[in-house]
Amino acid sequence: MNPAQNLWSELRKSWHLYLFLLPTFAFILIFRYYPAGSAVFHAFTRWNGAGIATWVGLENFRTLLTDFIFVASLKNIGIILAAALIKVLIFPMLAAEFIFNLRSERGQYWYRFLLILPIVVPGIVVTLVWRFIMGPKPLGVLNALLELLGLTEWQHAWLADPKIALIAVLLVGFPWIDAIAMLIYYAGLQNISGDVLDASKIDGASIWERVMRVDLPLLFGQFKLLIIITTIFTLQNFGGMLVLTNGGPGYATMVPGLWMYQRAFQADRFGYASAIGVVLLVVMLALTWINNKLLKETDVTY
Amino acid sequence: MVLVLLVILTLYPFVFMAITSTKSYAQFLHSYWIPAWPPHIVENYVAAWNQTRGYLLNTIYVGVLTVVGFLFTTTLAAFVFARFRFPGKEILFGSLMILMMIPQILQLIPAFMWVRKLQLLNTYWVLILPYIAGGQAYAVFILRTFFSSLPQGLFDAARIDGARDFQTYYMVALPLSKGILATLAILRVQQVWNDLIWPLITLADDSKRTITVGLYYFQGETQTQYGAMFAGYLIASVPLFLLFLVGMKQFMAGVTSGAIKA
Repeated sequence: MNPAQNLWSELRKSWHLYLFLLPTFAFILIFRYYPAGSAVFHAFTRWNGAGIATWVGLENFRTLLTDFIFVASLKNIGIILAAALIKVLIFPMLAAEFIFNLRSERGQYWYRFLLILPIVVPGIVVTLVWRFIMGPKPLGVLNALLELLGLTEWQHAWLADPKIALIAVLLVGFPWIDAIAMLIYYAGLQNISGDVLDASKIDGASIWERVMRVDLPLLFGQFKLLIIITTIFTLQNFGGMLVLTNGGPGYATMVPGLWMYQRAFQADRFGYASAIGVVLLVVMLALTWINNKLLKETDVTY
Repeated sequence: MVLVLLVILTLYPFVFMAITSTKSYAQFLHSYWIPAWPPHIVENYVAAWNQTRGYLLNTIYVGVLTVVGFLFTTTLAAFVFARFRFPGKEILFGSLMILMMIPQILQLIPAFMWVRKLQLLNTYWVLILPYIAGGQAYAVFILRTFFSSLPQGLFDAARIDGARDFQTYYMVALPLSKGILATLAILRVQQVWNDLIWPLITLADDSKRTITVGLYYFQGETQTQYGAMFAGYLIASVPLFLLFLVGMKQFMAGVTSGAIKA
């Protein structure tokens, strides 16, 4: 049999396999590939709400460079991303360590359960409750608490003051124990072999020494995973900001995703918004590449 | 003890929400921090239920159809990729995996224009179909790894018993992957439940809205009904809480065994 006949007979033999792949590929072609390609194409057009597009080359990208709100949104998202990474690398990890070092199994189970519990609360509710907490006097919880403590000079219109709105946004979610991240760390700690833990005990290492010398290096894979997940999530998720501040006051808390959304649906500039999407794509690919490059060679196993 | 403090700080906003959901406006003003007597539970929760009921039903409907479609398509594809060899396999798999590099935010704007052209705006399908499409790459990747790890002997045994290729799919592969399917289903439902932007731009019709969009507008209408507002927030959390109680063992095991990996 020649190769062409061979391929033909293989295809005939496995035609039903393609049939079973069809649903998945139909879905991704229609709802992933087509819109993504459309975004890249329309980034080079002027595209209005009626769907009429005119090719304008690089004009949208040139305009972005001089769009001071977009530039401000890049600075804001940089700060927010840095804070998000610090949060996810420290707080869920501490919680997982504290739980892991409990003696009783029941205690471990219940603390895990209680710290994971917020996962059932819809994201919008978490955001709305925090907006209420950060709300103005007299009903905002944070301001009421400061009143109770006699710290009235610390009271602020947290989300409405352009000087501190961004800081207030960063405080949302305190103490920042992300449930999924904590579970990932906890699973990582459970995977550390008992031999290693026993050896460190025999060597007379304190818990603190063990955490620094054994646990942290062995959690490297978890850190890397969470850095990538958090980066991608933070860069594209702007629903929370829409609800908390809508980018305001002014554009003090504007982020690129929200600016994209507003340009499209409030200013009827769909091509320009697509260009913002393309910039975000490029930034995300670059950051993922850098993460992989920086964090690759240093994998640790004992 | 640090852990106790962390638990209190983490749960406090929700405890505050629960306590306030039992108060009238006057009680909220006068006893801000502590529960008040008599509680206005019935009044607040009835008002909240009447406002959120429709949104909840919409969300459950969309969530169920999404999960069914999602698990059906991803398990089929993953099964084919895991257990068969056929021309073009690597190219097809690669073209699916590359989607993991493409963020959803890129396509938000064109996807809206596209579903408008398809005349899907203001239907449940405008949510369900993209939601099914959304997590394909990741789920197929996880499931393929899982199906590949199943011992070939199981499939051979089923085949000797007369099962054909695809009978082994639902007689061998699916029953063995209940845990991982539960984890993927919970993650998907949670994403459906939490999505704000997409339903916000595609559903103008209030009667079709999901709970997230419903609550987003809900707070605007009731200026001083804080009790009912927080009651509504709590009601919105109940379905996921129930799902979580049923599936938590599976879910924690799923995360532990690496179901959540990029």
